[in-house]
Amino acid sequence: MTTTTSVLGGSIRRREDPALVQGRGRYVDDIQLTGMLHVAFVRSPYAHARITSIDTSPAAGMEGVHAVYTADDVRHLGPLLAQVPVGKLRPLLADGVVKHAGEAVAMVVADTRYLARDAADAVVVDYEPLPAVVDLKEAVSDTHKVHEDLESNTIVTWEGGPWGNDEGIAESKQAIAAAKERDDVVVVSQEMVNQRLIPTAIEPRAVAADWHPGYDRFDVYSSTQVPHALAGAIAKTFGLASNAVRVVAPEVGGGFGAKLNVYNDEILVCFASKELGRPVKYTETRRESPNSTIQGRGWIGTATITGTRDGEVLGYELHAICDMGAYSQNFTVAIPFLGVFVGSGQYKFPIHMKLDCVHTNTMTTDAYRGAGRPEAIYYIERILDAYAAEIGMDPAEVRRKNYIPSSEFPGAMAPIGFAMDTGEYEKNLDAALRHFGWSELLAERDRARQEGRHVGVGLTSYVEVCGFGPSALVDLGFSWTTYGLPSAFNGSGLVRVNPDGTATVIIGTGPSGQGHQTTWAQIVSDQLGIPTDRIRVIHGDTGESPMGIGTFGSRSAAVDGAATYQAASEVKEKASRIAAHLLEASEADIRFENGGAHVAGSP
Amino acid sequence: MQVSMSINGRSVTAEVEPRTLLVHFLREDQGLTGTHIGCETSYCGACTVLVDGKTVKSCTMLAVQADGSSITTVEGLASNGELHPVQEGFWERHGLQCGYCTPGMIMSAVGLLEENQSPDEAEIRHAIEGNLCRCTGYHNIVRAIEYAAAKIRGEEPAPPDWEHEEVTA
Repeated sequence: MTTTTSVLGGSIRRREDPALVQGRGRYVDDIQLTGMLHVAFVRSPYAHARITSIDTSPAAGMEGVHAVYTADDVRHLGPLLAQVPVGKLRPLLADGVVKHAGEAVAMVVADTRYLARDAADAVVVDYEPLPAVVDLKEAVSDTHKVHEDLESNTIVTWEGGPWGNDEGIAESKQAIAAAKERDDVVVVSQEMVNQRLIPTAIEPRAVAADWHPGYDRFDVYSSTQVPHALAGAIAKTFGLASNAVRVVAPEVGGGFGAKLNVYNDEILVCFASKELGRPVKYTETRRESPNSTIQGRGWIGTATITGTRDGEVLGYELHAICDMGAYSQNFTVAIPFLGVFVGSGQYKFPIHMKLDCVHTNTMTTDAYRGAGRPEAIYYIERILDAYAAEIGMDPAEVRRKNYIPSSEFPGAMAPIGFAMDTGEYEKNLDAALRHFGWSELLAERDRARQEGRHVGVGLTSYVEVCGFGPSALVDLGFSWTTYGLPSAFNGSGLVRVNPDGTATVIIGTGPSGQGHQTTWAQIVSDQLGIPTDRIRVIHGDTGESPMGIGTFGSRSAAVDGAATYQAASEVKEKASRIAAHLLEASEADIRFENGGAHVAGSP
Repeated sequence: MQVSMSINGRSVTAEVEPRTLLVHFLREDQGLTGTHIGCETSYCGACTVLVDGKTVKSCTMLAVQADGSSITTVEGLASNGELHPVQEGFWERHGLQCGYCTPGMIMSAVGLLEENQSPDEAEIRHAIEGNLCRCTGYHNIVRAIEYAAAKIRGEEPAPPDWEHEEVTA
């Protein structure tokens, strides 16, 4: 049994669960504000079409319908801001042409959810279908263009070897070409699809905006992983100061990266609330969701290993086409870029990656579970298996043979050009093989195959770039500068000890299932000795909290948690001085436990 | 149209549009927002409630169809500040993360345990196959329901899975 004496790292029951198991959690669609109106969208049934006419009058004339908006009403606010604005940005509502099925063409605002839907169905849109590009190889050929005004469907190509080092990339390519010339090598190549995935959080996205005329500020409730980014985007779009926009992410029913984005409906709902002077809510239906929320992955690529027959890999190549969908949103083109960062894994052989990012007539892709990294890892790991099969070697041994040896740490240089601080890959592999009984699994597989059953055993290893704190990544665009909130992707946490000995912790990030209420209570309890049930954690409210970048990429506890730990340490330091004075003891003898400060040995 | 039903033991009479879905009636007319909407097509089960003791996906039932029936939602499970054993099980065995599927998952489990207090793992998995969870991978949900079943039978639940040996290099 694993035991720990510390509340941090120990296993405690989650603090958020009593509300959630009783159905008392508050998600965005649960929020009803006085006078609230409801939104439904008219969406395109075509992947690519010219809009020849829109007749909103049948909807606008219905009783209880407050407004029907089209591109003409919102053109001045668009396009939708994207943190990495490479490629075509999304118009808030389709402007003369639709570029993917499900694209929003018109927005209806009505008294009730049902009426809004009825009215949306009454809007008449005429389309003239155009050729749609959905196949990635066709997209790259530019036979049909997704956007006539762009030079090519290919909007950016990311390349590594050593990232950002043309000379280093040329050297990698030369080394691989030279290896292929050797007569003792095998070259194993395979084209592989890393299919699109639809994130599908169980809670569809929802957003409610409440403009306060006279006060001239917004309260916005959104099912988002990035409340501060959204507040910044809204402020910038409407020409407001960022503190005139308060975004609250209450309980969020799963995110998986899909809610790490700023969406056109979030801006449009604010627009409608400001126009109409009423709170306005939009809740995505499941039927809309696949094409109104970003998707993930969508690569087709050819991976190639050149190596000797005894398992020494001399070069790895990947050329992939990556589907960006019709428009770029928050991080869209940056997602494959994250794949470059992990493209060489923990191996020492030269690599060459070339990732063509292309527009197609499909919904935008962006961050989804791992975001670019699982895709890249899949290619290198799968082709290593194919290579192992080709030379008849245990795939575990192939990996072992090509790992960066632990002797090169600290400071080992990954072929992709990143210095790595620590690594003991062989030792980790041994532990994993022992734990799972690798040789027994292989024997079981062989027995099963003799009986005519198809059984496989898989193995993969990877290192991941994650956490996203202040680092060189900021210079590459991983920040909220586009939303008017430049930051170094730093963390923050506010720790307040109240006169009754309780503590309130306010953080700028929030959970979509991660358990922030519990983790942050543990972090602060560990420092201040206040029991977790006397620590309240307020999260995801930009009106209350210091700047928080968001919950994604395994960063919230790592970065904001660390910042909160530091904040709690500073509180402790200050409290120690005061306690030492009051208790007439040395600061070094002050202990924080059982909810108070005591002199060591005399609690 | 007028509908009358008992919701969590309270008698309710209300006017509804004939097309009003039961889930919207519960959430928007009755303010019982614990019953969630995940798909509107009866795939995900987030909206599961008990109608006359049977589990029903309230997104594909009209409020008028529930006329005269007795409904239990997740808000009706705890009594006098005491969690229902299934709610306690989800808390004790970490059967939830984001909590959005949880009310429906809990109602399906309650429906199962009212019929069968000693379900085996296969029976539990069968009972919740109409409920989707994107966070947990279901493992701890099964353990949570096993915990609740033991509690209902008056037995000591099995210790949690995470009390295991640490893997060391």
